[in-house]
Amino acid sequence: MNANIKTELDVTTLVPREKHPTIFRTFDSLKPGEAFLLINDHDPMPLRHQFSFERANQFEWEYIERGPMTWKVKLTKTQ
Amino acid sequence: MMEDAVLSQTHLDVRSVEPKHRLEMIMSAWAGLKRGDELFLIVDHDPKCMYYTLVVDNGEDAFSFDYIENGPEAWKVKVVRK
Repeated sequence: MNANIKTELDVTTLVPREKHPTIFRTFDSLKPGEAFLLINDHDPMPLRHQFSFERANQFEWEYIERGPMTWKVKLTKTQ
Repeated sequence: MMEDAVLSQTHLDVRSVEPKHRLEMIMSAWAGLKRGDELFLIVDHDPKCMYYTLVVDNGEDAFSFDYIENGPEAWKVKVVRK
């Protein structure tokens, strides 16, 4: 799905306990077919696992940048 | 000679560790566990992403994962290798 990126979210500026909740809030505010760009200073793979359990079949995960300093993931809401 | 079963407890507080170094540190601690060993993990956020990572890497039957403290400032979980 070639969704437009609606917003960018750099989570490195958030306190740890706000990171995942903010990411999920941002994702949940998308309409199907929309995407946001997640920006982080390390591979957000654990987050990907969390999405695969908590938003199963509802998202697409595409790495736009894979380090070494910055990771960018295009997260699309598919339904 | 009888072998003694030595069960270890590891306490890992990652709150002062930079987020980008935490996963490797936690996975290292997990890799060092033998059956019955306990890892107490102290974090400044809900560590359920660690739970999911352990499930994906090892299967959900490989460990137990229990919350001892559930925020709002600190989370403490007890991970036991099965």
